[in-house]
Formats: sequence, C-alpha cells, structure tokens
Amino acid sequence: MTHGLERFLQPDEIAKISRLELRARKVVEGFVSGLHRSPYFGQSTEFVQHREYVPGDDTRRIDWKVWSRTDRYFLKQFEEDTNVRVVLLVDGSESMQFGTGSLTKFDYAQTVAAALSMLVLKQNDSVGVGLFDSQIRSLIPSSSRHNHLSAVLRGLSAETAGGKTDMIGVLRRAAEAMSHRSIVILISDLLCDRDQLFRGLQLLRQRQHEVLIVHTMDDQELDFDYAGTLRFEGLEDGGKLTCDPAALREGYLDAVKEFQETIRRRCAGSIIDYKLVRTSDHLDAVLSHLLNFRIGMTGK
Amino acid sequence: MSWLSQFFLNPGFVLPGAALASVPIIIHLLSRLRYKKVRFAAMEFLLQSDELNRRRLIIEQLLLLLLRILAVILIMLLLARFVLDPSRMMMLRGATTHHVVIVDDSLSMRETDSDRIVFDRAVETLEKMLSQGGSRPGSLRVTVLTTSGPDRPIVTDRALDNALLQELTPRLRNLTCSFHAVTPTAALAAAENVLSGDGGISPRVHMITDLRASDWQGHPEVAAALKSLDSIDANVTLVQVVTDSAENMVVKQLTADTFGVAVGVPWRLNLTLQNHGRKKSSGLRATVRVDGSVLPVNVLVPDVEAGEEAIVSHDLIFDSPGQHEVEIRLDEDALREDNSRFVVVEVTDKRAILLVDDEARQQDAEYVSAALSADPQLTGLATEIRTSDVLTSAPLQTYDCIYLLNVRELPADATELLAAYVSGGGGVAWFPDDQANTTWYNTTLQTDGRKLFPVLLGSVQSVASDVLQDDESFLNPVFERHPIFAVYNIPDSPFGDVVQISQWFQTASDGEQEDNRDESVRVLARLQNGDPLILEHALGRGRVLTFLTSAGKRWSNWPVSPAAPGYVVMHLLIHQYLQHPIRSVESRDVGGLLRFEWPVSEYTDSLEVFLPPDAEDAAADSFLRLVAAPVLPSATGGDGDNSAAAPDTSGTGPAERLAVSVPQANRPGVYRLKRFRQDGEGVETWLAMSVPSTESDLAVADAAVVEALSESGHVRVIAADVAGGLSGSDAGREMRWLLLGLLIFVLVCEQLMSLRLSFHPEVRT
Repeated sequence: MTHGLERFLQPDEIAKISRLELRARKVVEGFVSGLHRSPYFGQSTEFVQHREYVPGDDTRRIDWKVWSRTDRYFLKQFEEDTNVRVVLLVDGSESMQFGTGSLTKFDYAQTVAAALSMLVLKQNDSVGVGLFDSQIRSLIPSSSRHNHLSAVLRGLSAETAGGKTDMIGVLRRAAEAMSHRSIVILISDLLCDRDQLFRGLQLLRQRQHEVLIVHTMDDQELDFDYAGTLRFEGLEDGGKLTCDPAALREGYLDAVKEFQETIRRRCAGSIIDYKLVRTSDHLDAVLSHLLNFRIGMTGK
Repeated sequence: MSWLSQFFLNPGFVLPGAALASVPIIIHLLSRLRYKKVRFAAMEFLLQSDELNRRRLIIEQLLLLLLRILAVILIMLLLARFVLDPSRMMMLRGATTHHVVIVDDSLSMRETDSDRIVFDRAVETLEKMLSQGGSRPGSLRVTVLTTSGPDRPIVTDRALDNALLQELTPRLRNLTCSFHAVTPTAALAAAENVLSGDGGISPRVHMITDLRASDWQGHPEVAAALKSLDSIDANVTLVQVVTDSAENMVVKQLTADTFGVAVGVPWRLNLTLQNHGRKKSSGLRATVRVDGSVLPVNVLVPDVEAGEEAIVSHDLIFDSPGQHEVEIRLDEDALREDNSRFVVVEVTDKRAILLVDDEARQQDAEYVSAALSADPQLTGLATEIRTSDVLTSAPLQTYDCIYLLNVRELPADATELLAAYVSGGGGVAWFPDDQANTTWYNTTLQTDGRKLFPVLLGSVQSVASDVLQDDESFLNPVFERHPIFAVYNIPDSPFGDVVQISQWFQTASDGEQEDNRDESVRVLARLQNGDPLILEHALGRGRVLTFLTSAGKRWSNWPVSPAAPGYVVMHLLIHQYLQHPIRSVESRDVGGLLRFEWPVSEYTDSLEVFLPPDAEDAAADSFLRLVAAPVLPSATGGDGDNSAAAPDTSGTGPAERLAVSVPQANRPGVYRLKRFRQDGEGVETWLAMSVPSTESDLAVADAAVVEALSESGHVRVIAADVAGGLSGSDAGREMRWLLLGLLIFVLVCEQLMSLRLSFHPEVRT
C-alpha cells in the first residue's frame, strides 16, 4: 500500500473536492466573519498571494492597484489571515485496521482527514493533525501555510493502525496542547470505553473547543451480513467466538444500535457534533454533510 | 437381523438407514470444527449478543439437528417399508398383544410342492413367527390352534417366551396334517371366543393357510366370521403358503348298486372322477387293490376336460366269502391323498331272499323264485320259500329282503318283528291276493309308527269286458320312472305293453280327495284306468313296495311269456332296491369324531378296533380296545357327529344304549370294528374311510377378493416368505402414508427452522 499523496488525493477525489470548494470557502469564511471574528482582523503580517474576487468577498480587501492594471478584481491574501484552527484527531488503534471493503476504517479516516485538511488549507485556515492509539503517535502542529498540506499528508501516512485506544489520555493531552480555541474533529470508530471518551470530550468542550465526531464504521460492523460458521477474533484483544453469525445477527444489531444511540444521545447532551459514516460512503457526500452541518451551525 | 423382518418388509434398508441417521450429527460436528477465521473489531457487541442468545441458540440448533435426523429416519422407514401399525403399538394400546395363530391343517394342505407337503411349510412359518415373537418376552401372549380341532388348542393364552418355545418346538414338529375337510369358519369363531374374553389387550389373528378358493370365496359364513373378529377390533393376517393353483384329479365317489354280493357274481363298481385342473387330463389309469393286493387289470380312465366329471364302471368278482377291502388308486398328482378311495363289500356264498307265501300251492312264490334265482351261479341269489310262520322263527336280518305273497294276516309278534326289520333298513314287497283280510290290512298295518302297508285296501277289481274295446279282459300298467322299472323306462320299450293285468285291489282311499292322501306314499305305476297298481313308502330306514296285484299269473300275465323277461329283470332290481343295508360294511368320509352307539341288549360294552396301517407313522397303533359308556337314548342318534347308531331290533322301544368314540379314526383306510354279543360271539363291521372330495379343488383364492371380505380393511393377505414375527407384519399401506405425511411435516419444520436460524440479506434494488 502506498502512502503517498496520490493515495489520498486521487484525481477523482480531488475533482469532487474541487466542486465543493465554493461552498467550503463560503462556509469557512462565513464561519470566520460570523462566529469567530478574528482579533487580528485587517492586520496582515505577510503577503502571500492574490486571489480573484468572488461575490461575497470583503470589498475592502480588493487590491485596486491590480484592478488598475488588469481591470479585474483581486484580493490580497496574507499569511495568518485567519483565526480558525482545525485539529484533526485520527484514531490509529488496531480496531481501525478492520475493513471489508476497499478501504479499512483507518484508510477511510486518513482520507477524510486529508480531504478536510486540504479544504481547510485552501481557505487559508490552519489545520493540525494528530494520530493516536493509546497515545498520540504523531502530531502535525496547526499551520495555514500553503505547503503545510504535504506535512499533514506525511503525518497521516507515516503511521499504520495498531495498539489499543486510550481515548481519555489522548484527548487530555490534545486539550493541553491546544492553546487556541479550535475546531476538533475526531475521526474514530469509538470502540473504546464510552465514559472515558466522553470525559475526554468534556475536557475539550470545557476549553471552548468545538468538537465534531466523525464516527467511522465498516459496513459489516453495521450490517453484520456474515454467514456460515465463523470464528471471530477480536482486534485489540477483544476476545474470540466461534458461532453461526446469522443466529446472532439480530442481537448484534440491537447492541450496535444501542451503542449508536448512546453516543448520539451523549453527544447531543455535550453539544458535540456527531456524524456516523460508513467506509463505503463517498467522500464528497461526507464532506458535503460536514459543511452542511457547519452551515447549520452558522445559521444560528 | 431376522427380528427386523417383523417390522420391515425390506429389512435390508434398516441398518444402512440407521447409519445415515448419524450423518446430520457428523455434519453438525464438522461444521463446528471447520470454520473461517475473521478478525473483527466490534467484538463487544457480538459477545453481548452471544451471551443473551446462547441458551436459545443451543435449543434451536438441537431441535434443528433432531428434525434432520428424524427426516433421515423417516426416509429410511419409508424405503424399508415399515409395517408396524401405530394404533397397535404396545405403548399406545396397553401392555400385551394376544395373538391367536391358526394353522390350516385341512386335507388340501397336503398338497405336495417340491417334494414336501404344504403343511410342513406352514409349520415352519409358524415356528418362525413364534421364535421372532419370542424375542420380546412379556409383551406377547399366544394361542395356537388348528382348523381341524379349533376346540382343542395346542396352546391356550400363554406368554410367549423361551420356555414356551422350547415346549412348543417338539410338539409343532410332531404336528401332522389332518385328512379332514374343514372350512376356516369354525377356527375363526374359536379365535373370536378366545380373544373376546380378553380386555385391554391388542387382539390379532393369524391364519397360516393355503387360501383355497373353495374355502374362502363364495362363503357368506366366512365373511361373517371375519366381521365378528372386526367387531372385537382384531386384525386378521392370512399368511398364504401356496401362491399357485395346482392340477388335481380326484376319485370323487365310489358307488355300487349293492355292497353285498355273492361269491363269483360280478359286482359293478362305479368310479366318479373329477378333474379340478385347468387342463384336460388324459392317459390316466387307476389301479384296483382288493385286500391290499393290486389286481393285474387297471381301470382305464377316459380323458376328462377341466372341471368336468367322468363316471367309469368296473366289474369285480370275488372268489371267497367275507368282507373285502377294495381300493381304487389313481396316478399320483399334487394331492396324493384324494387319488385313493376305499370301499368295503360283504361277499357271501349266496344272497338270501325270503319268499313268504301263504297260498297253499305257493305257485306265486315259485314264479318269483324262478325270476330271482333261475341260475344261482349267475345271480348269486338264494330264495327260501316259506309260510308266514317263518317270520317269528327265523332271524329276519339274514335276508336281503322279504316278499310277502298272498298273506291273509300275520300274528302280532310277526307284525312287530316285520316292522322292526323294515325300520332297521330291511325291504319288504307285498303281493296280496283275494284271501287277504282287508280289515287286518287296514287296521293293524296302519298303526302309527309301524305303517307297513301304504293304503287302505278296498275290493278286488276285475276288468269289466263291456268297458273294454275289442273285448279285451286286461289293462296295461303305466310305469313311472323308477330304478326297478329300468327295463320299462327305456324309450320305446316293448316290455311294458305286453304286461296285462286282469285283477287288482282297488284302494279304499281312492274315493277320497287327493289332498288327503298320505304324501309319503308314492304311486309307481297305475293301470290305464288310473287305479294305483304299485306303491312305495318308507318306514324307518327301510322301504316297502306294494303291488296291488298277485305275483303269479292268476291276476296277470306278468310271469309268463311275453311279459316274463320284464318280470325277471324287475324282480332282480326289486332285490337290489329293497336289499337290507349290509351291516357288516360301511363307507364314509374322514372327518368329525367317529362314534358308535348300540342298545345294551345287542352287544357288550367292549369294542376292538383294528386300524389301517399308517403310511406316515409306522409305529402308530394298529389295534385298540375301547369300552363303551352308557348314554341316554336319543332320537337323532348323536348330535350331528359321525355316529353310527345301530338299530334297536328288540322292538321294545327306547332302551339303554352304549356309545363309544374312536378318535384314532382320523385317516383314510379300512377300519375293522369288532363288537361282542351277550353270548360272546364277535361281530365285525368293516368301515371304509376315504378322504372327502370337497378339499380337492386346489384353486387358490384371489388375495384381493379375500381382503375385500372385510369392508374395514382389517384383513390382510401376505405371503409366507415375508411373514414376520407375531408383533408386526401388517398395516403397511397405512403406515406408508402416515410416514410420508410425517416426513413432509418434518421437512417443512426443518426448512422453517433453518430459515429462522440462517441469514438471508435483503436484495437491494
């Protein structure tokens, strides 16, 4: 398996993401101007590039000199011209190694993280990535630099899933590491102790971070379409069981449903955004859902 | 393995089928051992589901496994043709099954097949059924009886166990087939009697039989007996030991005009033969044995079409007096026993005839004597012309018959003896003339119980010449068909026309209404004017012929030419017709209990029996000495059994009698029975016993027809080869459908259970 840029940003994926660019930019910029007005608003530190004006852009940032030469509207863009920090926490535990389709849950989580990073960086927002299992195995600090994407992708591709999940420890360390208010996106299968998970999430919320959970699950974990006599061997020392899965399917699905409901209910109680995604879902649909979700948040 | 045959018609499928029943278990175990490994993340939910459903899953999987095993077993039962009737299972019906096994030992079971008789195969089948049934001691009770002796069971209501088998085996092997003609009715009724007294048991009747059509088809009483068994809920299994009908020729009857014949006089024996086969019989011969010696001349038997009869006559001449045993034996065929028939004949130097003539010159007696014994060498008859005094002085039993010619009247004791003689089987011919005392004839001889004269005598009539044409002074008799008129009954016979009657007795009853005439009196000949001329009536076992004209030529031209030839023949036939039964010889069929009864005054209570040799058992008794026991006199002389009641010749009315039975007289042959008079003189009676011809039709009944005798279907016919032990071998058809229905039910349940336990993903459109 290659872990290069091409692996996560396939041309068709990039194309799909590009179609989202307009909406993503609007969501991100609206998010910045509406909800999280930056204390550094109007003060640029370092010119980076020009960008063509699109309706909705702040007209005060139009570079009139360029207009006088080209008769077209361009905006000046400066480094750190944002106050939005997005931190992507990707679960790299052994349970994420499970997958019955073309992608494992970890592969899918990496892809989602890469796509979101690209989207965020395209908006000149800063993005940071943390990969964890029982501890944070790699951490790419937040940055909005144009070349930060390659660092993010390297950070994501550098590790494969392994080890057990120590969710509270990871979230505590992440909370301690984030000095600025951020949007924390946790991409995980959440197969860990639920109480520890929500205690960790509560720490993030107490520090005023917005938290989004992208609950990644495989189709078989949700549908359990197994047949014949099988011996299930649990990842992360989950135990072993030889059984006729068809006979246990009903009880399994009930347990999964109860698990989802518990997560959903407790997220709602903690004002945490929750999105369940299947590894078979298309990325554009997932991103669209996330951005739509943010639009809903900004509309408040 | 053999015990399986009592439950299965194809027992060979049972063990492989039982082995196949383990296949679902093996598959189940293998599936538990052979699995694919899956590394799975969400184990906590799977373990949670397993913990909640484990108990239910185990039960459901065991149930599914059980259904699959049951399906395999049911398929095996279908293939092996399981024949146990569930309604008869011990578990469902009670603790015990009572089997009544009837062995058909009628004569037809002696049919020879493959060098042994069918009865031996029946006994083998019985032994097999008993031994297989004996494998479950305590659950079966058994009664064994035969068709010839249903009232004498071999075993009655005994528990079938090894002890009984050990006791029965030698007895069964010594069992012999009877020579009797018996229908299944009595045995089936006996079985019903045995079973009807048992409450709370499962009754079953098995009859091992040759299933002859003559016994089972066309007999409403058999169907009624089967219906009676159905009424007590008893299943009837007919185990058929013969499947094919055999060709059989039988000597059906041996008859003769008389069984008393004189030395040197030809004696004609008539053989009636019947072909019971499907093909014409030809080229058969019959050997004749006299006193055990084969005569050099055989009887040629004509071709006999299938189902037809033929009568063959054969003359024998005996050269010594005494009783002689005659056996006619055909060539051997399927049923050897009915190829032989026995008869016994009493041969004397002369046959004595008493001619009583009270007319002074006794001319009429001379004519009769001349007709009967003109040449004693030819007729063997010896006439004795006496007056009526002889009736009280001579033993009348020594005469074949008595002619009473021109008797005016008889003393009372003579009349009494004469009545006793006739009642005992003697024959009398009356020829009264004008000296007869009509008052005596019309009173003494008309007494109830000893009516020796048939009609009331009227006056003597003569032909009135003025009423006759051509001035003839006689009338011709008109003869009815009768054995004594054989010569006159010949078509266009000239002999009758030449008989001329000029005087005769008119009967006093002629003027009475015809309705008032005694119906026991038959008019054998009338005159042309309608007056009766010759009459016949019976008294006891004897016959009385009454001629209303004289025997001589005074009243007719009968004894003289041209009527004399007919006269001679007629009197010879009258002798045969009136001949006293020969008491020293007797013929009858084997069957029933042979019983003799006689007055105490006639013989002592001792009876010696010389039995015929037994071809099957050389060590069998050949001599018996029996003692008769007193019995009350009975009008019938025995309750329908084979009793031989000797006539009471004492003339003193009912007297104390003695009776004895000879149970050993159960095989064909000639039996010599010797009784002793009070003075010690021994009197022998030779009894020829032949097998009954009613068992000779060896056609086998159609099993479907026999089964249809019972509308409820409780009668089943099976072949002896597939007969199993006593607890099974029936109701196969019903079980087949029951098993099939059960199998379908089990398979449907199995599918439903499998559907429930397996996962079938929805098809996503």
